[in-house]
Formats: sequence, C-alpha cells, structure tokens
Amino acid sequence: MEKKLLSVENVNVFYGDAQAIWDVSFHVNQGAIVALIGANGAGKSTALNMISGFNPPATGRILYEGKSLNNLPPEEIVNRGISHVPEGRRLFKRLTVLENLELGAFNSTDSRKRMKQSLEEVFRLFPKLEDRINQPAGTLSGGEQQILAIGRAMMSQPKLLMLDEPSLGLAPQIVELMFDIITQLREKGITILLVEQNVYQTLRISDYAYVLQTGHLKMEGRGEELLADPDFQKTFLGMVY
Amino acid sequence: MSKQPFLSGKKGVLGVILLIIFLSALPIVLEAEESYFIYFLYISFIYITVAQGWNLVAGYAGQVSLGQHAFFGIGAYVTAMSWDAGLTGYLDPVAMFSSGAIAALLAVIIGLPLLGKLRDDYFALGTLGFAEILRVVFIQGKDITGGPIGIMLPSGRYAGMTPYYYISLGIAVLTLVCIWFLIRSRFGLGFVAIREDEQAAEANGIPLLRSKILAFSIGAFFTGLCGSLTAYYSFHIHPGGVFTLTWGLLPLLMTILGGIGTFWGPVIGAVLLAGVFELANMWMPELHTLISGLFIVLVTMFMPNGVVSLVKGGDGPPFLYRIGPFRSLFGQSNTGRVSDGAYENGAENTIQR
Repeated sequence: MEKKLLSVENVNVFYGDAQAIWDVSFHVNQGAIVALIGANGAGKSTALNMISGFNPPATGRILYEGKSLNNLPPEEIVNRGISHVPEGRRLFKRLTVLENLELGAFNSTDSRKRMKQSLEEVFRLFPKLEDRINQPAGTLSGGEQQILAIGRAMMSQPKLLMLDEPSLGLAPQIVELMFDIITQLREKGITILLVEQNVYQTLRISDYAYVLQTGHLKMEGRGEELLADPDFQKTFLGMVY
Repeated sequence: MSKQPFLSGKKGVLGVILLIIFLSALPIVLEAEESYFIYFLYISFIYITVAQGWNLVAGYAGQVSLGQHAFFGIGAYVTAMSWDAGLTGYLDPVAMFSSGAIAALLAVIIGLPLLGKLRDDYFALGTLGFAEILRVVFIQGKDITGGPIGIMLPSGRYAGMTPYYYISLGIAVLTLVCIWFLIRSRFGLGFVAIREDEQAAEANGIPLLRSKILAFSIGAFFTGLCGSLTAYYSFHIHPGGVFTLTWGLLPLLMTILGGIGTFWGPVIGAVLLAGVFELANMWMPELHTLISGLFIVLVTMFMPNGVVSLVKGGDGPPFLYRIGPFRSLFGQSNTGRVSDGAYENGAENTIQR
C-alpha cells in the first residue's frame, strides 16, 4: 500500500458565517500528483488555504506525515515541508527575482543554510531565472512569473508542493510547459497537490483527482477513470451525448 | 542580496566616515556654546533618528504608525522620573538605554493587539489612539507623573551644548548603522516582503506578527532614546510637550519628504525640513508655518518619491546617474538594482532599499 503523505478528514471550513467546505475528506499519497478540480467557488483554493494554515478548518482533521496540522501557524506549516504557490502567483513584484527566491527560503534556519544549494537546484530546473536575477519580478512575462512563483516555493525544499491554478492566464503553449514542469517536479520526488480549472490537461498528468462542487466532494477517481465517466464528461468537459 | 546603490561600496563608506569625522570636529572649530548651527545639527540628529525609526516601521515593514510620540514621551518620562527619584543621574547612559528599552517594551505590549488584529488605516488609528490615551494618562497621573505640569529637573546641572551635540550625533549614527544592517539582513527582506504582499509573505513562512513587532519595537527604541535626550535638554517634561502629536507627525513628514522606504530619504528629509523650519523661523517668524507648509506642498507635488529621487529615481535611473561622471557615486558594482540592464528591460517600479 502507498504511503499517505497528507490526509484531510471530514473538514468543515468557514469564511466568517459562510460555510465554504462541507465535510470533505481526501488524501495525497507520497510521490503522487493529486488534483482538486471543480468550477469557480467549489472550494478548491479554500482547501489549499486551509492546509497552509491561512483559514484552518472549524472541525475535522488535517494529518501530515501522521501529525496534525490543525492549529499550526502558516510559517510552521512551511517548516514541516508544505509549500503553497498561491493563486495569481503573489510575487513580490517590485523585488528582484533573486530576492523573491531568497524569501522562499525564509522559513527556517535549515532552508537558509541550504539556500545556495536550493538556488542552484532552482536554476537547474529553470535556467531562464538565472539570467534575470536582478530584474524586478514584475517585469517578467506571465509564464516566467509563474515559474518564479514555483521556484520560490521550491526554495524551502518542500515535500509537498501545492499549486493553485498554475496555468491561469497563460498562453496555451506556456500552459503546456507548465504541465511539463509539474511532471518534472514529480519525477524529482516532490508530491504535488494541484488545483486547476484546466480539467483535461490536469487529469492527464495526475494520478488521482477529487471533484469538488460548491464545497462538497462530488466524485473521485484516477484521472483516466474520471475522463471516461459519462457523468463527469457531461458536467466538466461539456460533452453532450 | 541587493545593496543600496547610493553611497555604498568603498567610496560610500569612506564618504560617510569622513562626514562623521567632520561632524565630530565641528564643535571644536565652531564655538559650540554660541553657535546656532551646532543647535541646528543637534536637533537635526534627533529628527533623523526619529524619522528613521518611523521609516523602519512604515517605509520598510509597511505599518504606518501615527503614535511615535507615545515612545518619544515614554522615553522622556522614564529618564525624568528615574532622575527625579534619584535612581539615575544627569546624562546617565543607563537611564537613556532604559528609556529606549522601556519604549521598545511598550511597543511589544501594544504591538501584540494592534499589529496582530489591525491593518493599514486601522492600525494607524489604533496607534494614534494609544498615544493620545497615554498622554491623558500622564496628565491625570497626579504625583506619579507630575500631572499636566510635569516634572522639573535640576537645570543647574546643564553642562553646555557640546555633550548634547555628541550624544545626539552618537544616537543618530547608532540608529543609522543598526538600521542599515537590519534592512540588509533577512529580517529587512522580510519587512519589505510584508509591505509588498502580506499574504504572500506569510505563505513563504515569514512570521508576520513577530516581524512587524520587531520593526515596531526597534523604531520605538530609538525614538525613546531621543525622548530621553530631550528630557535632559529641556529639564522640564510635561505631557503637552513630549506626548504632542508633533513628535508623531514630524518623522512622517520628514520621511515622506525625503523618500519613504529608502535609507537616505529620512536623513535628507530631516535635515532639509529642520533647515526650512529654522531658517523660516529666524528670518520671518510670523510667516514660519506658511513658508514651511508651502515648501512641503511643492516638494510633494514635484518630487512624489521624495527628495532622494533627485539622486536616484524611484522610477528610473537616478537623475544624476544619467550624467556619466556621477555614475561611480552610485556604486553600480554591487548586485546592482541600478544596473543598466534592469532599466533597459523596462523596470518601471524598481525599489531601492
């Protein structure tokens, strides 16, 4: 049996009085690419924000490597090895590429010690970034910004990388590249929790996927299973028979 | 990590050291006790310190405090009360350090709820409210604080202008050196990250509250030091004098005028504004505020990034940088925000730390 890296058990999440996630459970196996898919407002980003500690669940448990993450502050969750690339990249646009990367290794003494090594690794993965280290992040193209955001998240040498809509607002060609990068990261042994609207591409590369709808878990299955499911095709791929 | 282009590198350090030596020699050359210029520099050093303290919190960490006068006042009162009680003496380093430390401690205590729960405008109003409450507390403090009349100190001990000049110079240099290194450390990078995007900073594992409180309390420490020296200088401390909003707004004005979020901005702004105040006050006291006000309006209109943008632009190559011979002044040898490449690539919004 595969080892569970992260498991989320029966969580309920609120924004103030409004409930955004209802009794959802899912898990991510070590070394897998797991996708959360669903329409706008389904609770995908909320789920990621919940895991990274921004908006902890009101009830339910989040277990990571067998330990609870429930009441930990975001910086501690980064220390445990979970890195979150937020939606819209959230780069420090007026800071340079290098400073953005340095900030990615901010979390612990450990990451700072490994800073040079992490930088080299990121540059090996994304050589383009190295040419632009002194350029303000805001001057990069959309694709490069997304790559920088991923690079920044990699600087803390995470075990679990959570990507929130990495293909958002990118040209189709760059979207392809983004999915290639995600596959490459997995090959490097990083577990990936992916939130995407680009359903077809996502299912193609992911090992397992959960389908959320207005805060409820609707379906789950392996990528190809879901793609072949008539119900799923009708709702998410717009195929009509 | 990127370095400050202006006055950095070997030349910059040498220039700063020469400037400090020059300033140290001034009281010997000029007649310290007679010279108005020495007083002007003394007050400028205090302004520089208070302004740089505010710049750290607001300019770098992005937390606009309108309550710096609370720390100035606390610094002054700790010094005055401890001397009055016979615990410390005249120009006592222990008293001065304690004044700064207690101001910093107060910043931690008040920062926990204010920085933890409030953001942006609400934080600003919270600090303003806190400082005003503190003023009222000291007015109502009866015998403990001396009430509205405050505390009279033995002015017979006045030792002349020279020690004040050197102490204020020392405090300003200490502040600038500390903050120079701080903003180049990872903490400084963390501050800027928080200012730029709080949520992204948090996602990268930057402890928000701890970082903000660090900036807030360091600013308070130096502001408290200035309050302490002012207590020794005026020999009479009262709530209307040291807890006045003036000490909350002056650093803000000077920093914005000079260039907020830049290292030299507050220094330039403080000296410039002190100069304008003093000159206007000397030559036409009846028009003093009018002239100072007009100056402030003009600078903010024509130099929205502060006077410091004259030497290095916030939105492009520094003005003087474009003139060849001046280039070496700006230390492009470092990792260089002011590298030509960055500008060619259309960096509209480069910031300098």
